[in-house]
Amino acid sequence: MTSAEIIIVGAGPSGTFAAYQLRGRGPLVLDVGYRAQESALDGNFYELRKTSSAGGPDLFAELIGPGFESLHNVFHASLGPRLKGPRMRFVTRGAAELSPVVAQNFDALMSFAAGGMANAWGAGLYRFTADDLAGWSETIAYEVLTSIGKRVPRVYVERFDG
Amino acid sequence: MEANHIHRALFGHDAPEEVQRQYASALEAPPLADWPRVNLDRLIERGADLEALELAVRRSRRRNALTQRFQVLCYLAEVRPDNFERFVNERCRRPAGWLILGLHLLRSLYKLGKGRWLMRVHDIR
Repeated sequence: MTSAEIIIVGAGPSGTFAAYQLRGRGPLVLDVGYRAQESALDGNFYELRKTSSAGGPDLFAELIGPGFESLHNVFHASLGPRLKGPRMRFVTRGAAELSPVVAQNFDALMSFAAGGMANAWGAGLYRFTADDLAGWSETIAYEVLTSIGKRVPRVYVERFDG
Repeated sequence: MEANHIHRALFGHDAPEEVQRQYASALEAPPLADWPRVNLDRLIERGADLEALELAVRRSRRRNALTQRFQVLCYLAEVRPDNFERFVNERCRRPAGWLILGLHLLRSLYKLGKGRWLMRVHDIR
């Protein structure tokens, strides 16, 4: 069994910085830690939408979702456009069971994504391709952006042992 | 039949089989709004203008079963590459854009009037 003097619930920006401030006292950071699925699509998404056809990339799975996730707002209380997409539905998955909140005058919104909501935004975005960033190489190098994209999720869930 | 009718109203032709299947599946589980209580099959058989009816119904109550059906079909159609140009304009044509907007404004007013008349005819309130 793990024991800790300080337990921080949630590895979002607040939890992470709290843990950072308390480094040296061995805070334990707990996080449900759902992660986004990697997109099966490769290339510029805008172009894919124009050219995809039978036998091509499955845009239905990406845009609507196998469980019709994107149609969430048609039938249920509204989620922001980012959260209702198939790739982002993991953020609030199981919210009613994991952390039920009953309220009359507000909708409780919570994130179960590893690294909190801020990390989920990054996970839900389609990455720029080298072609997208052609001409920007002096400002944003594709190789640098790619390496940051690979490092960020790991940083958020590290334990701060000081 | 329902998917085809709505697709025809929105895009001018029948829905592809895949969209018809997806539409039926999408409506299986979630609860639709309980208003208006209309027999859609009968309205379709009579050739009712569902687009006009939906517009009028939406003006009466934003969350309603007819609008939900239109939304579902619209979302399903939008992801298809063959509909890309209907949803995304890539050309700069300002005069034509204003003209189309004006025409659609007039068309919407006509459809709203027609829809309100249909609501009375079919006793929807």
